[in-house]
Amino acid sequence: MEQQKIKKVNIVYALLVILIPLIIMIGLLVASVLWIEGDAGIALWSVGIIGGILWFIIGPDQIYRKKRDKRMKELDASGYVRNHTFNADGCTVAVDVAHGKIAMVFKWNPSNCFVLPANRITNVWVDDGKMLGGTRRVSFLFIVDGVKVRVNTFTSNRSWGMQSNYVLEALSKADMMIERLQAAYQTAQAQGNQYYGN
Amino acid sequence: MGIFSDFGKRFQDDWCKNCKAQMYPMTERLYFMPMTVGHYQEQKDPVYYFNKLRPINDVSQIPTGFYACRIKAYRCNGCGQRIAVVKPFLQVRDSVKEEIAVVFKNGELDALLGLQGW
Repeated sequence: MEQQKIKKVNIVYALLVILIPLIIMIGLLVASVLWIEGDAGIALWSVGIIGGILWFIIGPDQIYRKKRDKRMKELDASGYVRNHTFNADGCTVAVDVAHGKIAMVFKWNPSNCFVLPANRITNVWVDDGKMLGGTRRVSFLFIVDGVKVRVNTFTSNRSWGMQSNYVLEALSKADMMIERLQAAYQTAQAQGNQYYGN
Repeated sequence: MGIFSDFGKRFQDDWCKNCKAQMYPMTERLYFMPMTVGHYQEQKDPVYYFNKLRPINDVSQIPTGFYACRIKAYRCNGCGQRIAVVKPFLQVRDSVKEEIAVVFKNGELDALLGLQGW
């Protein structure tokens, strides 16, 4: 668990996740063109292309999920009480209302879990993404230590009516998380919890 | 008329499925359900309702992100059949997301609704 400044993206990790598979993919392609002829070359070429595409689709998500689960277990073991945990595609937020703390794990920095007193949050709100009577995204946002964190509770490639069940559920999730963050904030304020840890 | 009215009665909530007469509401109550948004599961076991529900007066008492349900009991004046209809819902700001209603036909929720002896 980290005490330093919130970093949503770990550049080294992001480059490794993107570049290493890309290099392997290009290597396989080059090998299949230059040194391996016939069916074996085509097979290697296909493995390179398909493997690369599959990796970019599922690889980073799989790493994020596994690391996130590990970080959450560590959090539980440290005595952190996860009253509410929201797992989104790009970020996981766990709120400990009793101790006035929030914990975050980011997709592009999954090795670090940032645990902070909730009174370092300066603003919280819900973005319903409403446009022309519908929405493609609902999220809750907060600013902590000057860093804006957006957590999507609903995303779609088409627009859904504001009264659709998907959107209503997403709004409810966002409203609930905002309330929990505010409750944690109040607890942290009452405890005068200015620094990490007790 | 016959076919359409028969069809309507058969699928209308407050019409008796046995004798097709209108059923009259006996009581309606509002309960808090300890289920959060995204984790709703239909409950067909009456024991769940006895153990988990908590009566509330109005929707303002439902915590954000939690489910509630209205339980309405009906009685048929024609044949005496009674049913209890549980309608779970999620209050979202000024809107409501409704789940599929659960119907109890054998008086399973009478004790909860205070209808013993009717």
